[in-house]
Amino acid sequence: MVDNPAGPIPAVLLTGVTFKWPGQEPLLTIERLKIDQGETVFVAGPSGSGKSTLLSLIAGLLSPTEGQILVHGQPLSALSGPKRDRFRGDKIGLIFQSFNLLPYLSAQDNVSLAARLSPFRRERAIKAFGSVAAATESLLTSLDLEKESWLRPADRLSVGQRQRVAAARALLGQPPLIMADEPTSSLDADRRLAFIDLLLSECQKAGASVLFVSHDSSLAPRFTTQVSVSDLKPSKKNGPA
Amino acid sequence: MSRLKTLAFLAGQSAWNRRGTLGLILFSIVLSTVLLVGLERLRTQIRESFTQSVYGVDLLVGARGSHAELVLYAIFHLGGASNNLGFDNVQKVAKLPEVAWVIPLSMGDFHRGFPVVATDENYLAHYRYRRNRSLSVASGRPENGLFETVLGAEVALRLNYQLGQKIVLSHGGGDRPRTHDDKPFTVVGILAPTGSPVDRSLYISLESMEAIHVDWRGGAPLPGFRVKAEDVRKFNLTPKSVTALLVGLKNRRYIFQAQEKIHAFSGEALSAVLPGVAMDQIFQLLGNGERILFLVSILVTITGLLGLAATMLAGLSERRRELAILRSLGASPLDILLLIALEGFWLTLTGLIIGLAILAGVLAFLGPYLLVHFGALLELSPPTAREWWILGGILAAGVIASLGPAIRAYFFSLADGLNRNV
Repeated sequence: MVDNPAGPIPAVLLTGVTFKWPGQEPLLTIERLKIDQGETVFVAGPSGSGKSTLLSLIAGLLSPTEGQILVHGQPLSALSGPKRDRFRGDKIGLIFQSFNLLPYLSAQDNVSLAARLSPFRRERAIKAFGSVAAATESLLTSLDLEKESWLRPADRLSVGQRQRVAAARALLGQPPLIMADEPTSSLDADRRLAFIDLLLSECQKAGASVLFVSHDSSLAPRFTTQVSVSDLKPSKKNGPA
Repeated sequence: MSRLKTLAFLAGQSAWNRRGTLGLILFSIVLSTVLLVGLERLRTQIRESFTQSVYGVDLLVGARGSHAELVLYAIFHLGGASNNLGFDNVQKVAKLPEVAWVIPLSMGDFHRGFPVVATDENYLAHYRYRRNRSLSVASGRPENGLFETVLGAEVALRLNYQLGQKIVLSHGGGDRPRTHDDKPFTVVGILAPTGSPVDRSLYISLESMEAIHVDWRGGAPLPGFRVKAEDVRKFNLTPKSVTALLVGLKNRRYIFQAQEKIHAFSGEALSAVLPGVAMDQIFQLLGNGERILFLVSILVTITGLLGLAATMLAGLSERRRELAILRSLGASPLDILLLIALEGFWLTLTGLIIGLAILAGVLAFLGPYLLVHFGALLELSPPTAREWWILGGILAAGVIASLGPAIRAYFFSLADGLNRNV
């Protein structure tokens, strides 16, 4: 939209974005961030550097104080609250650090909930697998979740299992953008890499772009692009970069 | 449609997960329903058992005097008449072309505080209470011969009397009434409970009443004159006067004609009163209790519903994260609102149904006990129009009470709910 109007629409494009809580110093300033479709981006940075805030902004969970955010060409600021919820549900698969599963639903129901709440993802799941249930089972299988735990409520799953359920939920119905916020922080090193590979291969299959936030830079080489939150800040000199 | 199905599915799963808290809310709704509908039923039954203590009696006839007094002694067997009416007038009333039947009542004697009512077989044939019910005996027989008595249910229960029991009547109330101990009565029947003044009365025949007073004049035994019980048949036991008459007409249309004719009798001055009107007037005076009961039931409901709203509001902070997760997956604030309102609706509806079931059970099992021991006729019957309104009111209030928290949830900050690492 800015420098390459003829090319494909970027998955995410942030320009001149600032976020701050009222009466506080800006928590996050980003001059420009572009993620192309199919690109996998690793965002590094220490805790408190605003990584999670960045994700919340792109997901439309927070609104920027200044600047513009486009997700698949759609400016988020142009969407009303409910429309933004709908847009997020349709286009973005989120994996949270605390997984945010509904404790009382089974692994299977937690995953299929994404399709239940988003007609767009539901249709895509049916198109690809014939039914939401088939899509759910396929994802749970390829994410190595043992069949006997599919019907177990989420609060009785192990941390590793929860993580894979959360990933399956984000992937169901192939949303074009997957965002993950420190989803591996509760795993040991070996299993972290295994999980990342699994996640990335699933995203690749679906052709989704990935925005992965972590302070653990050992994971960074698995991604096509690595950025640091501090690199995104506008340079001190005047004028545009 | 499928969205509503999803919300219903989530509401159900989530509710089951929080069944402990919701159980408490449900309990308070059940309690409110039982109390409110129960109190409402009690209230209407109190009014009904009062105003329908006697049913199908078109006119009360007594010596001229206060109408309220006539109702009190002729129907509630309370107090006493200052004047009687002659038996010739009884026969004159009975012969009026408009009149279908008359029940003569003669009162003034008591047994351990319970009024004794002397009457004839027409009482059993024509006396009706509460929506056209007739009297029946629980044990023994209803007919009473000379020196035989039939007891109301409460009299038998309180005094623990059985069939064949010998009892002595006393003349008038007061602290040390004179007794008719020379002419004891035998209990031959006990009436089934009615929830009306019948339960508190003893019934004897007009002849028996005459017989125990053959050797009395002016409220005291004649000095030096004693008639033995076995000798009373030698006397003419046709009553000379009665206290009151209950009159049934062939057709209620003639009620004012009959009333006028009775008022126009020559000789003694008579009152003919429409019992419904007079009883409504008395109830107006006594109606305070009814209004207080209604106020209490309203307060009970408000308390119950406030409890519902408070518990829902308190439960909401537990649900912050849950609701934020749903929104992160594409549920709109409206979906959240619906989710919570749906829960409030089902919860209240379930509470109502359980409450009604409990009430029905209580009425079915406890009804007969309440009738015998408290004279309260509470029966199992489908809800009245007014009770439907109350039920609808509870349901609406339940949903509205849950809407408060729902609206609060609507404004929850999404990021706030999601980023808490619980």
